[in-house]
Amino acid sequence: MTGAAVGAAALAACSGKTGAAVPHGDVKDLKLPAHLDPSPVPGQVVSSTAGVPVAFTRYPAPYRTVTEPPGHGGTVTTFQITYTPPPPANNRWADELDKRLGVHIKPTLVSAADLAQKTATVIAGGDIPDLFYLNTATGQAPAAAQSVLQGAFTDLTEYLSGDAVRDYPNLALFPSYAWKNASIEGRIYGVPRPEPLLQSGIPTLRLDWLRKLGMTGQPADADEMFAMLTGFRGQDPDGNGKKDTWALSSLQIYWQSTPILNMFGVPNNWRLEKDGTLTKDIETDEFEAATEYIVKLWKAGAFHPNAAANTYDQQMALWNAGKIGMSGAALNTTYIPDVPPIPGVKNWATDLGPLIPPGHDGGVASLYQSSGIFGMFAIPAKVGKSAKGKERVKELLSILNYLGAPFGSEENTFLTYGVEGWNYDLTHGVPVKSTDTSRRAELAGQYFCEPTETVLYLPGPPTMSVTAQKQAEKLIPHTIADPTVNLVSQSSVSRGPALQQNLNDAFVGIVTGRKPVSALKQLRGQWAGQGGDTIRREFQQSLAKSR
Amino acid sequence: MAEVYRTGRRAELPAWRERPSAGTQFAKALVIAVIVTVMLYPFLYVVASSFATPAAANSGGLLPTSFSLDAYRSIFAGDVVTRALLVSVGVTVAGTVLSVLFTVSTAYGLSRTKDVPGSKAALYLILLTMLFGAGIIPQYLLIRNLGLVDSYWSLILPGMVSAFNLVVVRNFFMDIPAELLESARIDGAGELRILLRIVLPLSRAVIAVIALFYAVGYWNNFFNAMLYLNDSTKWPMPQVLNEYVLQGGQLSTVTDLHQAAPPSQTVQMAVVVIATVPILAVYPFAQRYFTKGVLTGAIKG
Repeated sequence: MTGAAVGAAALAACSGKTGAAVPHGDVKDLKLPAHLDPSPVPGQVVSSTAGVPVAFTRYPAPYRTVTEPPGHGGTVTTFQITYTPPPPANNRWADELDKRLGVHIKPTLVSAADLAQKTATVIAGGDIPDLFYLNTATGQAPAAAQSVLQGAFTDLTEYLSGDAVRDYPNLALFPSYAWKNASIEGRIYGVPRPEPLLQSGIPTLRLDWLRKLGMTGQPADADEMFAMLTGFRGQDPDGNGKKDTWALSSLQIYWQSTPILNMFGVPNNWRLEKDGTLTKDIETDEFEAATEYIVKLWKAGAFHPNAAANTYDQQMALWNAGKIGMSGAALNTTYIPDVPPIPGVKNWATDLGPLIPPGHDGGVASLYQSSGIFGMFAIPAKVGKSAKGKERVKELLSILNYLGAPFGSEENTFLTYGVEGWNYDLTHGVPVKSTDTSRRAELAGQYFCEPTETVLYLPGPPTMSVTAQKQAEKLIPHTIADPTVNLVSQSSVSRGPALQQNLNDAFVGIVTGRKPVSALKQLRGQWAGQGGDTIRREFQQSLAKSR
Repeated sequence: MAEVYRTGRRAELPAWRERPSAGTQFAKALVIAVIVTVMLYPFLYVVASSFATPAAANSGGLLPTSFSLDAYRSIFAGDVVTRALLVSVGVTVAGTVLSVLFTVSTAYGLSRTKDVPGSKAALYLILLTMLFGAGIIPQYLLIRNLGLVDSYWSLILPGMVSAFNLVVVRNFFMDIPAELLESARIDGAGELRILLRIVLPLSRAVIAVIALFYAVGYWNNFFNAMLYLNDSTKWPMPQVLNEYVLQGGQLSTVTDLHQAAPPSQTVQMAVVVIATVPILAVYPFAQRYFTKGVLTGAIKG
């Protein structure tokens, strides 16, 4: 629940052999959808460790998973998040999508920044589109969870739970943790967009700089980490004779600080104690130790001077200009080809790599598990009410089954890259997107429940993905989950963002020396009094209901 | 006051105001130069970046110096920005005409509180909307129940008459000497003729100003489009600008990098220029009415 849980790590994801059995509390009275293993595909490497992503050594030769169009004509309205400029009116990709799905898709595209407001108004308006993107995560549209509990959406449990999901074979490949974390108080209301379990807190590191410092491997404890981060400032790792480089570009309570919190074993947002109570991360001694460490880093100049205010774009600009040793954004499969050349990085396969935080005492760090989903597609309640409505629900789920086709399939390649020869070309068997702005923009409505992000595929040396998978095998057992991930607290929705902002501001104040570390004690009291204790109580009640 | 400035030449400065010394003048010039630089630099930077090559735009220099039309070419190659511009121009022109029409006629009616029964009550009702907003969801429900979702009218109707502008115009009308209107009436003019022939020609300044307010409002309004227009082919310029520029700006909104990389900085800046320039070009023409128009309406009353 880092406000900025970002990007899929190179060594991230989970649709592994079992897919289940990741450390998580069980959901009471909910039989999760069955999980099937992926059918063998050349180049696909499946790990035997639970929770570790499938790796691909090459882009699969596209294969079909759906034989006939899932829709029966007519129109399907959608409500979707988008991250790109709007699509052109003449849209070859959208026409092809309609043909493939057998229905006309009429989308409402919502920019990520407007999601919360637009979600609230559309739900309140009552005309909820047939496939509705619901993202109840903090920073998205958390208030929507309440409308789910009030019955605005069809309960999909009977259609998907247990073996029922076998009617939708592509959805049965989704990792079980995604279904579990998408469930709300023990019921399934939507088809999740699965994401890797391990994604934030594994930033990309300049391995070439690490070598310049004379370090042979990743830092092994807190002292070596300190030497590395301050060395990026003091020892001129880019060799231009100027002291113009820094280790970190952002100072926030999470984001680039996450590896350090991991190093000291700070809980993932909340810790579930043995007696069933919850402890917030800032309330722990581990957090205090991590804060002291970050204060020292600040004093030693490891942070960019504008770190407390840098926007994401500014951070990426610094990273792309070769001024920063560690990017908050994790090394990310599909993002890589779009990364402009960074000065000094000759070969990204050997000069860039994940930072694996060590335990502060030389042991292992406790890494954060993400929620493993990024929203879900729900169906409005009015659709599922009649007997005829049940057929409509099944049709809509079949459409989601098409949209959820696995990585590398013909369907997924179309959804991710578009029409071959128009939106992309195959170069040595790898799809390369067209550079034409308009043709790229045609895919603005592509964001559905596709599980692309849950696999490891790094276009480069074939061994890269497998190496990353091996690393994931080592790391996944040390991850800790956020115990509140699918719980509902009304106060967390209404007051959580402001409280989190206060915490962040106070944290920045402490690190930059405006307040002493001892101010943390006072901060905890403030947080608890201003709503933290209420949120805790509501989460504990929701916990009792769902587990 | 305005009269004094217009006719006041330096030689006619009042006796108690001496010519400032060279030092003071220099200091003043310096301060003004600094302020102008602070104001102009960001704008220059945006324009320069929009014409730069992507590499030069990211180099971190004071101003990118290279020249390339690629950003504009790539924007106008697609129909998205062109269409959004057309929508914005259409909505701005139609909206401004309607807004001015309804504001002026309402204000005229309300300025004659003695002649129009119930006009005081109507005025208070309108003033009330300045104090209390309806809130987003009730407004959305209203627009939806009127059947205006996905209609261009949803961009015009909700803000068609602004209470603030109405009050400004009404106060301006109140200042027109009653004798003038009375003499017109004696000459046999009806209310419409009085409004068109007497009141409006005297009110050019205030009308130019509220027209500009309305036009800028329509041009910049992104929120109504975001709420009421689901069909992205109907989006006006600000909504498209939002999609181009805002993505990836706020750390808290960056949650998923598996999306396509955001448009390059040069493209973003070019969209900013395209969105800003048309409305900026209107300003010089309305500028001269500005001080007079707003102040007259606001101070007297």
